[in-house]
Amino acid sequence: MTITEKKNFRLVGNRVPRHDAIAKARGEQLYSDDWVMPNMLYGKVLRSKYPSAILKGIDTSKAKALPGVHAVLTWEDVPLNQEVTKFGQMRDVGGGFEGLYKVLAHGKIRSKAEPIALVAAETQELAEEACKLIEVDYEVTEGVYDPREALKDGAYLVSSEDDTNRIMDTMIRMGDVDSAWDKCDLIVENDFYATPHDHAYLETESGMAWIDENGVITMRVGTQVLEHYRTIANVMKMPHTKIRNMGVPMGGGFGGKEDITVETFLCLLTAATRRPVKMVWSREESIECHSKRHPEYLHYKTGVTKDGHVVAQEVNIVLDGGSYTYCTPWVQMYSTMNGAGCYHFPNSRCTSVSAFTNNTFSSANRGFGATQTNFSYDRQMDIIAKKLGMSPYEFRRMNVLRNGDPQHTGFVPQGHVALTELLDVVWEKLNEVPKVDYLPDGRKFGRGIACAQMGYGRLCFLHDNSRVALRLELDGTVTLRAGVPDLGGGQGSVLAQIAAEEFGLPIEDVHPYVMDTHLTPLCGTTTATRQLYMSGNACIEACKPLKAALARKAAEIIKATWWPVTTEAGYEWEPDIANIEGQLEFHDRKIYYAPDPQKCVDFKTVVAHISNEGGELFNEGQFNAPAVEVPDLSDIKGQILPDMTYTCHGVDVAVDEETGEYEILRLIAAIDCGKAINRNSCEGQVEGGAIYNLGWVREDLHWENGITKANNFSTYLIPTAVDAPDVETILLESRGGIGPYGAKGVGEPADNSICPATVNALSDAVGVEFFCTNVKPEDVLKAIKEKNKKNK
Amino acid sequence: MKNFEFIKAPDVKAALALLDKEKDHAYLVAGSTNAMVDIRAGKVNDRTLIGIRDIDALSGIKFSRGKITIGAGTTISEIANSALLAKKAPALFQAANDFADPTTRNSATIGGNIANASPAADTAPPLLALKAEVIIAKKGSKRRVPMEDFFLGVNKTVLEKDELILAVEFSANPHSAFYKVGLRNAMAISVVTAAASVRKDRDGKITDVAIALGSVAPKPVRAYNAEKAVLGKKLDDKVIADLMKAVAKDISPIDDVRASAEYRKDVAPVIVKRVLCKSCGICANEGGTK
Repeated sequence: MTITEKKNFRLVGNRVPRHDAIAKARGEQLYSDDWVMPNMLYGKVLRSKYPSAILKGIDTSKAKALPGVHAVLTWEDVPLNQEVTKFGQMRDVGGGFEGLYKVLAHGKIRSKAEPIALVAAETQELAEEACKLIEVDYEVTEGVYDPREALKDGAYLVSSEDDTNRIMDTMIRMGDVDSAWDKCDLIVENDFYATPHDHAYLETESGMAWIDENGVITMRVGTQVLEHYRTIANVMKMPHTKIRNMGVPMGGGFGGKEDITVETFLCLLTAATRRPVKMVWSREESIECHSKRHPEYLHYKTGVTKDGHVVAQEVNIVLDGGSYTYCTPWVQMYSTMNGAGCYHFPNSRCTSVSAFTNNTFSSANRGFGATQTNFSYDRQMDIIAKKLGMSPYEFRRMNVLRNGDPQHTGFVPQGHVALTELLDVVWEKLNEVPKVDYLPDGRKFGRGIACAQMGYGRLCFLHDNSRVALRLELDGTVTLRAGVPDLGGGQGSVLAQIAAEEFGLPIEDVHPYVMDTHLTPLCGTTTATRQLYMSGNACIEACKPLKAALARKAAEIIKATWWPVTTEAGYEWEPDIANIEGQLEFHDRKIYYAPDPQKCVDFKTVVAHISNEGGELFNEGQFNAPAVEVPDLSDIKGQILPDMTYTCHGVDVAVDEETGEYEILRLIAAIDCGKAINRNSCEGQVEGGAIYNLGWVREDLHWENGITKANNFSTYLIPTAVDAPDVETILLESRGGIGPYGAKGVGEPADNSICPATVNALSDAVGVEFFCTNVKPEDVLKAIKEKNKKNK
Repeated sequence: MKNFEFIKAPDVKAALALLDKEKDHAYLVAGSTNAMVDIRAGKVNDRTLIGIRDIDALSGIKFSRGKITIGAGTTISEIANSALLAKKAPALFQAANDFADPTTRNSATIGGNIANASPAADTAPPLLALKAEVIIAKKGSKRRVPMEDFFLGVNKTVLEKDELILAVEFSANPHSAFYKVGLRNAMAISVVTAAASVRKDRDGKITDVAIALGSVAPKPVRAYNAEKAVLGKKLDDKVIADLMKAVAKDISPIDDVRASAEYRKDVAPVIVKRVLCKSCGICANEGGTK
């Protein structure tokens, strides 16, 4: 285990105010949409009118003739219109993992999100007007909108670049499923459906670009993946050194800003006009045109013994990849990995296939393929527990993974597996309120529990790494530079907190300068719940040599100042410098000799000494995650992810049996975070994740043949403040993670097990099983009516 | 391109004069909570916006000789916070409290809510159930229109291009109630709403009743068949069953992005039962059947 041992924390674990908290509270924080420049133009994208068509021709002459319009661009104007999708990885993995990134439409139009042309004009309204003047010749085609249909022989072909709709196949197996069915007393088969889900961040995709005095195309765009500058440079056919993104804090990302959004469009328009260009997507454009959580169709066949031991499980998953590949193969890996769930099946097989359709493309969304399977396996466990006459808690507790149990790929995770503790604490908390049949107001009561596992850190075959740079200033403060995109989770601030902890400084003494491709070391993506794990560890690495130099110098100073000491009895024992060095502690802006804290020296005095002698006051540290080779996708084995985080949620609901309306009475969220670094941020992730995943139960995009009917916030209904229940957060701190000080990642794992717990509670209340993630009051009432009809 | 003029009317007279002059070109705005959305969607363009938000004479809640008069420019917040309405017109008070969210309530006005004539307008069913009258003015004349004649269809009313709503007026009735089914607890466009008001004699017989529903037809509607089922009767299980059955004849819901017609048909009788029971002072058992 790579836990960094450190006992007496002074900052880590506290509720530390983030460095940017005051600015955000005052509304002073500038986001992508807040930047303006003199002489700036407004950019606009013309999107396809149809979800499925062949682009026959584009006539831009009328738009170009409109006074105030400075550029109208189509695919022919893009230096490299087709590139391979990358997601900031340091290693080309090729194969099925990297699909086509097409900048502007050419050939077949694959979805309504497809960008046809770009406009830059003096005003936003002129740009919109110009878009209306672009004449596009479409040959409308039938399209295909269900991945199961898309995979059939003779199905409509979504792409003009591939000869199949099939994106990728994967399989993971363990034991021998086929011969294990005979050992089962009960076999349960069910089909589940996980619906598409929007990120619904407050800030729509936006930013600006200009050409700086050195000819560098410079952007201010909030993105989860700064490393996209490489792809953007390739598209522009420019060296990677000539594209810069001075990243901006995001008003929410949740995976929706993991793909390239406005960046290439801005660079193309600014290059064509030689003027600054700004682009802000409308809410409708945002919801219609950015990625969605993968809709998945999942078939589960599960066998158990009559005393409640799980024996075998077969899972078949079909993923709707939508119009382009983007993150589909990565998401599919997570779904396949988590197919059998957090349960110890001696025999399991999970196969998955993904397909193109003419729906808006699917890509990253908080939970990244784990949530869809989590809903399904934990609904399945609930259904089986009922059939066995066991409590949902007992049945789960009997079968969850424990320390030393292998994942379904055969890999045994290094980190602590806290599933039994989590189940115990949630079940106990739930039962503090006795379960009743009906509430005094006449509503039916229901209780549900669910647990989950999800990885943190990227897929190990990507050979992930991160870097953080530090510079000690002469006044004893520290400048920290890190290319860590901050999407509101406190990704930048936590690095300052770690550096401050290591150097024994108050957090305000460490200034984090983050996310600038030209000036900050690349930290990799803010995705995959990896920044605290990866960059946190890189930050500790960066501190190490500086601390060693400081300790060496401090030891010299301390010895020179206080030793040897003459006493009446003679001489006190005089330690050598190496001995002092080894016993120094950093805190309160000082460096102390631990056995005798009276002996200390100011941090800045030590820095001054090193500076005077020409020593190095800077360092860049790198952390590398465990690395493996790309697995055989038809039989995935071994370590796929660095480690897992485990969650458990409990939900009480009240159901109005006459209208189907329901209310979440309690939501208990428990997670083993390993070690909470900033307690506020950690709890914030757990609470935010709970409400985000709870929203999935009610939110509905109303897709109809490639059209997103719920494309704004009056139709796509996310929970409001008065819909969000109080989340009772329980943080377990096992110190059993592989992040800094034993921390585990929480951002995405915190978005698991709420949806199944909620639907389990609804099923418990009304006595009907639900098989879709989306359960609206209407669905509840319909189920009750059908049940009553059957019972008559 | 967006093209507007904006003129702020200082008083009713000026507003009526502007309406008279601009006619078809005029577009009244008070809270602008609908106007902003329609302008952004391109549904409203090339108009002269006449701002009536700050006309004092249009704002306020008055009670005199059993009659309540609410100025058209009164905000939903004022209604939602009115102790008078909580007591004397609980149906409208409740609807105002279920209306959108606090910031929208601070802007939106009751006149604007009915003039926009959405089938889902939250204040429409209580005003229908309270048998309100709409007081309408144009340059040189005034008229009164019963609420039940006011709506013509989706976004259509009897208002002429040069007319302005001055106020709504109704008799106080503490025996009134409102219920909203929405898809979330705030900022939810109604799936179905119902309001009722009753008067009973000493024996508990219903001597006067009005029931209204929203989001179940092209306009907010009175449920005449449901009213007939309970008029002159004492509420008992049989009468309630008849009432619920009758609701089907009063509504013609459609499928939309919020709910299916079927769901609306299922839920409308339930919430009519609840508002009627509540109006009659009977525990409506809001939670369900048990």
